[in-house]
Amino acid sequence: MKKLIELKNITKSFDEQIILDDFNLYINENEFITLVGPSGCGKTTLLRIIGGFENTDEGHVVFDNQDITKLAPNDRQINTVFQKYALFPHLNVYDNIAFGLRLKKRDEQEINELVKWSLKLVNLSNYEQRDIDRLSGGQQQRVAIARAIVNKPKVLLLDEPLGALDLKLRQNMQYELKELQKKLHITFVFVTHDQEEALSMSDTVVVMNNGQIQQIGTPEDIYNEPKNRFVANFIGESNIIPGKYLGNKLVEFENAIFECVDTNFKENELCDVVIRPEDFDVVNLENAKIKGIVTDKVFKGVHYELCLDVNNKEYIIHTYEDAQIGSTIGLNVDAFEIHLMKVNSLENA
Amino acid sequence: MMSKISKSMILIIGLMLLYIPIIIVCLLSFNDSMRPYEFNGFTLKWYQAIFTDKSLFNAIINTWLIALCAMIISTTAGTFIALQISKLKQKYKPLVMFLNNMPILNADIVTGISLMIIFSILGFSFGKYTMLLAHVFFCTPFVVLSILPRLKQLDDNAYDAARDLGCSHFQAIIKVIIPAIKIGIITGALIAFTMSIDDFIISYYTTGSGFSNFSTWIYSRLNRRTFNPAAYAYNTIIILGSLLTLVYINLNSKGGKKIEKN
Repeated sequence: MKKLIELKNITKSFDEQIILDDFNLYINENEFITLVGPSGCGKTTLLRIIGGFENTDEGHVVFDNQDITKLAPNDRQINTVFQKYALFPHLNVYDNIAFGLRLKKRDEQEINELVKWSLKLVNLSNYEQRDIDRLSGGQQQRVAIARAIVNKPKVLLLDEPLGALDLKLRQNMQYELKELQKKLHITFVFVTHDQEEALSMSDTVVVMNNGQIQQIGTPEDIYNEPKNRFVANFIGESNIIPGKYLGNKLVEFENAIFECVDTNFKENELCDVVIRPEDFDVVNLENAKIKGIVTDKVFKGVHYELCLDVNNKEYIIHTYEDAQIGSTIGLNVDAFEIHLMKVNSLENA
Repeated sequence: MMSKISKSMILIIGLMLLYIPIIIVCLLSFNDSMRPYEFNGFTLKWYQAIFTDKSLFNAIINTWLIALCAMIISTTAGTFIALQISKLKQKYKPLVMFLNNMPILNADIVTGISLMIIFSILGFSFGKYTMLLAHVFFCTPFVVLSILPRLKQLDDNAYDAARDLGCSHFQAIIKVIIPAIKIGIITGALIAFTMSIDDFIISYYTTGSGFSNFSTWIYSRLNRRTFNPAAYAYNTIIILGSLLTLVYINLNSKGGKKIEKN
């Protein structure tokens, strides 16, 4: 795989507040990469730096082996889908999409074909003559995407493009965007604060907080093996339990000894044990290694979400079977469901 | 019943108070007499006299030229000022808006006298240029005020989107920002034009060397016996003009709504 964009030592601050702190990242060709993090973590600023809308205080942006740090946005082979679409209200759908091509002085025949092609890609054929303010939010979203991809950029930047859509529409668009990316072979850099969106769409997920990368990896890596407390809490729900590594793939927590799969710990080293709510097995009390009292219960459709009190610590577990509030239930965890984190990677969340 | 009648009476009297002066001016423009208190018969000669009374005709031309120039200059300046204000950081905006609104709230007499003092300190010779400058001065804040809300409605990323699609800075302003705030600019221009055409007090203090617009011309002739009723004729034309414009706009906007519904 070829590195298409490299961000080297990017530092950026606004009003003496550091937004990005010595940030390094590379993005491969044809990759669907997602920057995810809480608001204010610097993900949008990073996207704007790649797009050329913000200058960096320090550091370099390299595109296709060329330093483009000082290049104006109109000279970059990058297009952007903005958060609130930023469609031009005085132009209709056709003219909005043709806007970039006309600036490049393509002939009208070619423009016509390309506009039709891009409208078909976003399933909006026959909408050419519509006014922008007569489109729904979802349709405006599609026009914004068509307006960007019609220029056939090498990279498409998407700044929380689905944030304003309702849940069903958002799920459809997630799927369509993913399909579009495969079809067009364009690198997508996607910014979101929605961890579910990040997991379901991306090849690579970059979890950010306070202007720094917390973890980079495939969605599976990020979910199953979070590097620190921040990632474990931000991506999905987690039970984080203090424990002690005993050596020999054995870990002790809640006064019980469990088998695990991690090995890169010293004997008797303290660690944080991460267990996802859905990874607990509810078992008979006599076989259980952990016992807890049910304090609360929420029906979620597919499963029940139970809050348990285990030795005065709150656990969240997902289970298909109902349980009475106040009753005691037994839990067990399989070795491959237990993930250990270093305690010194403590990142308060 | 009584109260209904008295209510409609109040309405009729109110409307009469509003319209009688206008109607009187119209009537006088057809009066074949120099004196406003006697009616000698119907004539159109005052309409002709607009063109034959040289000083009146010049004053009218001056009014329109000043208004046109003031409109063009203040609209251009106001647009750029509004663009700059919208780019300011949030904490500076109230201060700048205050500075913009101050001249609007100021009494014309204060504006007029202070401009007169400044022009004489700077050693300008009073005449058409000082009057134009003064008109630009009091029109520009109105233009800024009518454009800013449009800029506020504009998507925060509209400029970035234009740059993203290949516009230079200048192209982005011309092709995206200006068309998007077009209505605000037109409104501002119209306000500037009417403000300038209407103005008397500021014009009075900032003109000189024989240059007068319509309002200062009337003032200079008010107490003479030779007051030319052609001024009534010109006023009647202006009234008719605005009336027709209003009717046209009303008919058009209703038609526009019907199309939208379909």
